[in-house]
Amino acid sequence: MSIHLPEPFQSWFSQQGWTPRPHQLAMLQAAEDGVSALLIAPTGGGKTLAGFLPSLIELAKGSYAKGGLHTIYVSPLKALSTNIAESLSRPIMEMGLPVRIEVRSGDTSAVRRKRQQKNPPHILLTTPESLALLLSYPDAAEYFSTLRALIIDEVHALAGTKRGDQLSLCASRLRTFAPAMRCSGLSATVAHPSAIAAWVSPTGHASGVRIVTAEDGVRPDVHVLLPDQRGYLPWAGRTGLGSATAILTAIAAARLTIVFVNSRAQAELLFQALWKDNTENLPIGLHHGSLDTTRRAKVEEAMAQGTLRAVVATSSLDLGLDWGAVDQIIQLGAPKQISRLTQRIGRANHRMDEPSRALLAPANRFEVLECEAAREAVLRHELDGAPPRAGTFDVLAQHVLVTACAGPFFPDALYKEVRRTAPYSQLSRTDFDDIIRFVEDGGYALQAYDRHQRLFRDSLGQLWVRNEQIIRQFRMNIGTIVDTPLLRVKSRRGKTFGEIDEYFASTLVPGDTFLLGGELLEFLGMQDTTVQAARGRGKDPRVPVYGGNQLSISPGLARHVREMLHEPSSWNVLPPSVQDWLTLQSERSRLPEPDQLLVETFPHRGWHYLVAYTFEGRNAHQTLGLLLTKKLEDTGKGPLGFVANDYMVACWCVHPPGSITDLFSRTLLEGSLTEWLDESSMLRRTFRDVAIIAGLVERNYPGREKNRRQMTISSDLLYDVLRKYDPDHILLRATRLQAAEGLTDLARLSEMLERIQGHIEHVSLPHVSPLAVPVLLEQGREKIRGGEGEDYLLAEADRLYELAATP
Amino acid sequence: MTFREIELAGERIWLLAGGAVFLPETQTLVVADLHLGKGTSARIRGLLLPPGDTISTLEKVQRLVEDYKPRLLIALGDSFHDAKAGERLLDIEKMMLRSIVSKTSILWITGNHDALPVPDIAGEWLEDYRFGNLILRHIPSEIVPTGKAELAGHLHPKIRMRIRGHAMSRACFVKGPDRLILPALGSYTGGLDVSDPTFSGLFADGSAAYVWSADRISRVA
Repeated sequence: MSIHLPEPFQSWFSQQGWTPRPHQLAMLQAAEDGVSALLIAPTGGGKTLAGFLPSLIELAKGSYAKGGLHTIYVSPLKALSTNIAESLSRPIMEMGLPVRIEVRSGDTSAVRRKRQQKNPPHILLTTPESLALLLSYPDAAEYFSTLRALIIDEVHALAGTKRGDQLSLCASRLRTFAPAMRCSGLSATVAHPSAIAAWVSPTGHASGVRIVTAEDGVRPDVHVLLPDQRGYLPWAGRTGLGSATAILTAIAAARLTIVFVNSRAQAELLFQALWKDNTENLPIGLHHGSLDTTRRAKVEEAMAQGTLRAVVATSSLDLGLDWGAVDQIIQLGAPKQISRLTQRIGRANHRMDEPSRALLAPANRFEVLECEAAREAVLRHELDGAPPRAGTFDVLAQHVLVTACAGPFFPDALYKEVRRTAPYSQLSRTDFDDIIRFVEDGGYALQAYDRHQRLFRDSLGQLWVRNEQIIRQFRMNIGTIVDTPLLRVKSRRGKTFGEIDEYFASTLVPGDTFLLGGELLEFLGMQDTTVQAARGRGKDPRVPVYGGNQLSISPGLARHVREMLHEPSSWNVLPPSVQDWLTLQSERSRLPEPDQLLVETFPHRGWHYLVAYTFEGRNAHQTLGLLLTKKLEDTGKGPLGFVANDYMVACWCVHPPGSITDLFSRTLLEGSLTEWLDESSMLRRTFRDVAIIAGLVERNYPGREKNRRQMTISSDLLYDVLRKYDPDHILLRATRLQAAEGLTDLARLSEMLERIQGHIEHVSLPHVSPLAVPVLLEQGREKIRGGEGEDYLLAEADRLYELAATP
Repeated sequence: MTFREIELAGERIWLLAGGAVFLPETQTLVVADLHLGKGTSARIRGLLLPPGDTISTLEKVQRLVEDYKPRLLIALGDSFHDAKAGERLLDIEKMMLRSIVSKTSILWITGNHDALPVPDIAGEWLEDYRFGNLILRHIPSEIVPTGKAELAGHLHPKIRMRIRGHAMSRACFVKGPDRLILPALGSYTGGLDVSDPTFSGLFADGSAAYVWSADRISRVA
């Protein structure tokens, strides 16, 4: 390689005892050549420094001495920015570079923001939301005109998400203001390099982007950790609390462990379980997205100072934070995705030339299969995950308003700018115009009362925002992360028990009991936005579910699990209890065979259940659940709901499901699914997010946040009206497109139906089978609303009252 | 035409699927909380909600009028979302209102959203209305005179229930010994759960909740 580190960088590297790694020099070369680049390097490979070196070297030359923004660094996590600012300040100080670095996020004070606005730093570390906000100010064009580099960290975690869509649109805006700007994407795990390269490209296409790949790190050291020596595993459940003792032992054997879990609820429960057992008082902390900033900051600081022995964390610690020498990670619960597991394993050991140590702790019997399959896949360096999808319309609608807030714009020019991003490179002009119209006046077929539009056109054809109030109001609502609000749980006397997810609260009925903070509470009712509860007693308390995505298993991993299950000779790696479980299933019912579809029916809790072992992954099973319940509704079976996991789908009805061969016949796919899908709660949830991001529903409303519930109209009501009078409205199209992303295409199910015709193995059982237990305990049940099943239930309740009234 | 007959203060009252009430003796149809013009009310703030809510609500009223052919239609207040809602009505919405007026007389009871008569709207306006043993008003009163019964709206009652493990939430009628609260008929109206203390205050002697499905009005609480 012809490129060398200039002084004083060369000497500084030598002082550290380092030599520049080849990928660091390659990134330097790319910057020298003025091209955008994608760097794929394992954790501990000096990735961040590789991203910043070109900027530091340019700035060292002193041409920005008078000031001006040179580099913007964007990461998915606020905390990552703060972390990077600290680690960069050392080389800057030691080499005496004329470089000023500042962080800008939602937490930045108003005073500091004002100063940053007047006197920009050389390097600004920020998040996609804060960048969008900066772009909405009238001086954006001038502010960003000196920009030379955009660094996007953990690019794989952004590409293909709504935040990523927003960032790519912002990047294109930045290029309009600073045409010489180059972009560097940094990532540790990339399953689809050219798709990600397109993502950092100035044209939206991969050609012209330099892909720099660092050498692989050392093979990690991965083992499965069982709850006890005898190898007993629970039938179901996802919390994995039975492994607490084994985890504690493993923590005691290492310096610093991160215990990754799959949900916030699980994190809370495990944290308590560990402390209950923690006789040695090992310092163990907790880190997840629902904790307040100060508590999280304390844990981060303690990790950095080496005063902690373990941290229980959700995905909030997935990304490349560098808080101390983690030497082991434990994944508790299903790994779900090979790439994510690889990323998490990479958190252990920030040195590239030592193996990362990882333990996989399954929470139930199915998860043992998944852990074993994932372990093998990680060692084979397999990666999974779908390539980034196309950009969504709701984010684009928000971006149109961001653009308009900064000043008037020509739709033609914005369309060209938008098409230069990878997510929107295929966007049609019709869709773009529909989005503009939506932002302008709502874009409704029923043209209502047009005296109050949001944008107006001048004689040149430029679009302007109608007034300052709309701009101020909109700036409070920028961002594409839609949190389910948390509601405070209080006693009648006003004592606060804690917070629960609004969605979970909406499923509670007076008299229900639930667990919160280790207490058993009885739900009394809602008062405004507080949940009223009292200490209670009762069986079957429910455990609060917190929003946040329930990650689905990748199709690749699901396939590995299925193969293991079909091959009893591969069971010898499984603990005895799991082997027994599978054997028990073969005795009580049957084991699913490779070329068959096993369907079990049995009565359970007063309903008629049907479980199909399809092994097509949760997404395909969601679609299948919709199809099955539609056919069951059409044939008068009164379906009440369905639930899917990665391996199977279960439906329940008030009447027996009838002939299984008829149900799974080819006609399952006939007839229109659209109407049924439109009615589903899945679509309603998707629409809610779309409506919020596109600006149809406000999140923040100055001074009136307290009355939010009274002020906003539920997105469900909007959805129903819109569907009735404007079925092709751009936001409904956006909703259906997004839902379709989650649901596997019908082609795959059609293939499956074709394959199983004549090979359906129906087993009618007196009660639930061993293999079906996990799915019945699965969360995320989809209910069938307003169908014959509910009519039946209402009539039944009515008859009970009549009976009670009869003397 | 699904309904269920109940009795209050000796008066026969039909609870109708959809959330309205019909008084067979006097051929009177009663609806509550239409909130016409709610969808367009936020436009001033730049919030562009889908405009079909008013049409959808008027369609419901129209259908009820066609099915029950009332001599008198009484709207129990909050019929219009705000004082300017009348100005914002679309031509088609005005036409629908006119067509309703041509089939029945209308009495608008004033509510907290439409405390004063809304200009240019046909029909009579009153604060409350009494006939037979019934008192019709928007906000339920604290005490109903002995021997009388009250029909009111304002609260948008709904009920969350769990029947054999299946949870659902529906708009509902709430009936006590001397009063009946109607659900809101407006398309953009949310609701207040019957577990809210407001209801226990109004129904100290207990209450019954009724919800409707396509072919039945069911008592569920």
